Amino acid sequence: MSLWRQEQTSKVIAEWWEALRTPSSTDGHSPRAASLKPALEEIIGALLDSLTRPDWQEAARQPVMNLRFLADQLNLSLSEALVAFLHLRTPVVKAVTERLGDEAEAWKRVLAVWDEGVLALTTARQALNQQTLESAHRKYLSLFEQASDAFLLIRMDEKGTIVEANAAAAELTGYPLEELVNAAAITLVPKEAHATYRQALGRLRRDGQLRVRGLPLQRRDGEVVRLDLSCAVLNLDGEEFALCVARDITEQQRLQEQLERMIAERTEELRTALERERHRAAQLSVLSTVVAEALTVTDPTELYRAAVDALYRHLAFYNVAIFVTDEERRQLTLAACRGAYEKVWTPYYRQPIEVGLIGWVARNGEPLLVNEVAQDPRYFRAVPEESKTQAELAVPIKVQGEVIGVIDLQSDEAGAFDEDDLRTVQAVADQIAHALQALRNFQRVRILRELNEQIVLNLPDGVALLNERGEIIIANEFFCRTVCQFPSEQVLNRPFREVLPTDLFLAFKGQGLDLGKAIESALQQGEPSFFAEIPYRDGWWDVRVTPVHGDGRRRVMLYLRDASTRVRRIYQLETLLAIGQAMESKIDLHPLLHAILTAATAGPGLGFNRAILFLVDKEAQVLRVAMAVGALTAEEAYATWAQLAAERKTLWDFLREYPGDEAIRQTPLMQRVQDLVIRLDEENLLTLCLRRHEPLRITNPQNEPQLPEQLRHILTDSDAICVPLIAQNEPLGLIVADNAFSRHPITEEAERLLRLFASSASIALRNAQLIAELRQSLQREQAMRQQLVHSERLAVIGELATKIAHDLRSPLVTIGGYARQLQRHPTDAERVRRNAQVIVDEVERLERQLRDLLDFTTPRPPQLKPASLGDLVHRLADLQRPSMEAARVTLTLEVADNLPLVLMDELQMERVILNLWRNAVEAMPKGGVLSVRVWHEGDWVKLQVADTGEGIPPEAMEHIFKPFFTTKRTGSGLGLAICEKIVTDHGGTIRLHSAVGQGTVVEIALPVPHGG
Amino acid sequence: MAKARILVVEDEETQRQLYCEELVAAGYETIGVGNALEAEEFLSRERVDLVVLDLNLPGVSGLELLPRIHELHPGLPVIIHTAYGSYRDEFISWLADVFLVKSPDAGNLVEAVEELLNRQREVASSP
Repeated sequence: MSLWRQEQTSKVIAEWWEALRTPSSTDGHSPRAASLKPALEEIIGALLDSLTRPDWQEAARQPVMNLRFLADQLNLSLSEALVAFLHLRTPVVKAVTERLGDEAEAWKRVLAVWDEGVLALTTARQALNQQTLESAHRKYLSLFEQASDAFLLIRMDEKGTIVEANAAAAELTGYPLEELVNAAAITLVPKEAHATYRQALGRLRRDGQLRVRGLPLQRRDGEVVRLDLSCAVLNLDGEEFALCVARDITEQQRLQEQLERMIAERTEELRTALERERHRAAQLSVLSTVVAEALTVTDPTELYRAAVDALYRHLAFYNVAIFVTDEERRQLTLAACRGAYEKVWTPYYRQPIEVGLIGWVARNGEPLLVNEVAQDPRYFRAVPEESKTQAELAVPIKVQGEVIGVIDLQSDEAGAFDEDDLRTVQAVADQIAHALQALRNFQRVRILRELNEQIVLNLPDGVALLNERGEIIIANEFFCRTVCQFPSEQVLNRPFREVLPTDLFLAFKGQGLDLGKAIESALQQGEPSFFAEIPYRDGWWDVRVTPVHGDGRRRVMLYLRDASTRVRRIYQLETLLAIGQAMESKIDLHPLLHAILTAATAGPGLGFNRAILFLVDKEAQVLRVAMAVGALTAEEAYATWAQLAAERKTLWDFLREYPGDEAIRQTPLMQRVQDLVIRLDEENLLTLCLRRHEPLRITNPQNEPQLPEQLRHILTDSDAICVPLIAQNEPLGLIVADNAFSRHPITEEAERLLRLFASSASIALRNAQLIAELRQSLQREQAMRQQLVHSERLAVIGELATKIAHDLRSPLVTIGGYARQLQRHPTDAERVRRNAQVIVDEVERLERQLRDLLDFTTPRPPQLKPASLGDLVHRLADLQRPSMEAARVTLTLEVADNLPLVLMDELQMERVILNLWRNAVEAMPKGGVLSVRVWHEGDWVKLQVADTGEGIPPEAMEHIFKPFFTTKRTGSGLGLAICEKIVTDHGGTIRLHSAVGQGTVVEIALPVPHGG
Repeated sequence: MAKARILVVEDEETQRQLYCEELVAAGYETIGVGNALEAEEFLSRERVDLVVLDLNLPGVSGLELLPRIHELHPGLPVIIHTAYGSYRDEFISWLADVFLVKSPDAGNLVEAVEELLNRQREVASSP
């Protein structure tokens, strides 16, 4: 065997080589072929072996496949490979003939196995047909390559194999492209993020797409970057892929964090400021109460009570008490108490001056602050309930150098008191001392002077005391100069309505309030009022109206404080928060830009009057106005402000209400600027600002020759500022803001904040642009995919069209040929009869094919009527029996009696039965038996058609009901497909069993209608 | 001169009969076969002057038979006679001398046979 094989193999190869040696190809591939010779010998040897074995059909498959593989290795063109295969056939047949001693058998075997090799080669031709598809794919790939975002195509298998990646992906991950492709996507995921990714994958599988922000990715160098990841599932050739677009947002997140940190710092700053503020207001209230009391009381005990009460109420201390010394300075007696120990200490509680912290203060005349009483040896606990005390503050009340009492504060928290509290309490103590002194001297007028000098005069707030007629009797410098804007002599002794500025009353009116009434009701009914954050002039003012009783007469203390700084800070903080949130939540560009411009202009945040946002149009190389917020004229500005003040809108209201693109376009300012186009190659302040990446202040923009003329017309002579929007070092646009109507100078702080907003805006802008780009690129790709699918579909349709055209053409050719013969020999009776028969047969065949095709492409719904399937079968059998007999087919019928009627379209069912019968007859070319059975079974009437024909090969079974599938040479491939459609339209089923060599059985079941 | 012998390979019986009749009427001797194996078997035994070959044959196709014909009888004129014009794209079909798309007019086939046989004779008789 092996000897034969060896010998024959060399012979076959030698002959083959000889046959292949053509002048043009000799040098072309023989070196390559020579190197493959050992492999070739092996394969040919195996082929010869296999072909001489009894199971040759099975055995030869592998060597033929190997042979084909070898042909691929030779890199031959299809035609060359086919020729090579053909030339190989003869020597192989020769060799096999020698072994088998039967050339016909050898040919049979070789031809049978050759198909596979040759067919495989023709599949290579199909690949050529796919060139269009490939070029589309190349286009897609080039898009993929050029994209600035990282693109990854990941097969959704066990480990997520990366199938394609672009240069940007390589840059993002730090892996070279060749390493990235075929790598497992999981290698890019940091260990701690595995769960997150698993969740994301789950969502991707469920929704088909996914967008996640801030996913961590581990670069090759170990650095972890944050990604904004968008994925979509693509189904390519039956496999699922995830197309991922990733963007590094580490930088963006850093900025975000910076913003958050800044907000946190601001919050803290503000919190302390507010705390100070609150404290001061409380202190002032205590003082004003004490002062007021001092003016009225005649009994010192009342004064003590009022002071203790004010301290307790306004400063919310745990326990407040005043002790007074006796004549001999031997002991301290409780004079007044509010708070935790109010009920603990009995009235007239007293203790020796030698003990306790208050004793120390009474003896030394110095205040004492002990924040942890347990640590202080001087501390003395008079009653067990006092054990709650953790901190204590005691301040002496001294009249003319002599300690007459002690104010004592206690707290259940260690470290509760600070220097500020000490100062407040000291002020109260001083005031009490003054009052006591005055009481002693009955010199009340002096109290007023003292008050004037001591407390009020130097306050940086406006303080004034009004008499019962509403005339100002005391006013400090700030009140006169800053609030009333008069010298003090023009303020004193005049009615408040004459000295307080008119626009202050208007400011109150704007808020729906009445300052005059508040003062009058304080004078008449003794009702205090407090007004917070009244917008007045360019700031915000707190106004307090406190009735002061003293001397039996009603008086009112007016207290005005500029709260602008505090309000601005709160507003800025809110703005920062709002912008941060807007960045997080708003994906659409316009609402976001509107939010940013609104934040810059609305309210006291930055206080700009107007802001115009320009965006760079890269294609046209110009700057265009994207949005403008604010008024065009001063009248419009004032009208808007008045309206806003009346509506009492907050920044949040503004940010929440995006008026819509159209409304924004319709504003006068936008109408004026929307057509503004500034060329980037023009030399002006805007392009300079873009180039420098730096903000630019413009003083007197109206007359600035370096500004584009159209913009000059809109701006005025008050300052403007221009801030560029830069993202990843690329200028995206700029904001121009001014204070045309308020004419405020642009402060450092406003500039700083505007820059911060600009950087937020840049990120948001870049985000929105990238998202738009991404959407576009995904859409493009989707379109391309669809195109691919479409062209595939076209290919299928083309194939079908060719087949149909041929099926129709063949009978036409025959008919034409025979008809022409008739024309030429009209008298040859025998020929006329025969030709006419051929023509009739072919026309029938043609008609059948056309009907099948039409039925399949334009299906008609069945028209169901009760009818008997048995009767139909009998009728058709009578009609068909003669032609069956001619085909040597015996038709046997077995139709049960009393069959129930079924709902059917008789014409359609006739088609089904005739189709099945024709198939059966055609399957028995040598004749046979066609058995037809009809019977009733359960809810069904069944029809069985069985033949004794060739049967259907198992590999064909699964396609048997598919349109255009046929095992017959002349069939349309539609017969069974139509049968199935008709039967299922009738609510029935069709089944087919077949065994090669034994025949085919088709069984149809039609439902028996209920109640019928 | 002896009648030229023509092998008609055509699987469709009515067509085969038609073409044979027309060629006989034009003065040729014809042998009709219905598939490639029959044709190959015949050609391995006997000589013919020309082959009319349908391509769409059951089992082994005409295109596969074509090189085999060349092996058995190099230089034997072959007319491809098919309903599919698209087979022209198959380079193997170029091995045939004439590629004729079937038409209802069998006269086209007869003409092609005459022309091809004349050309053969000229080539044979030229020095």
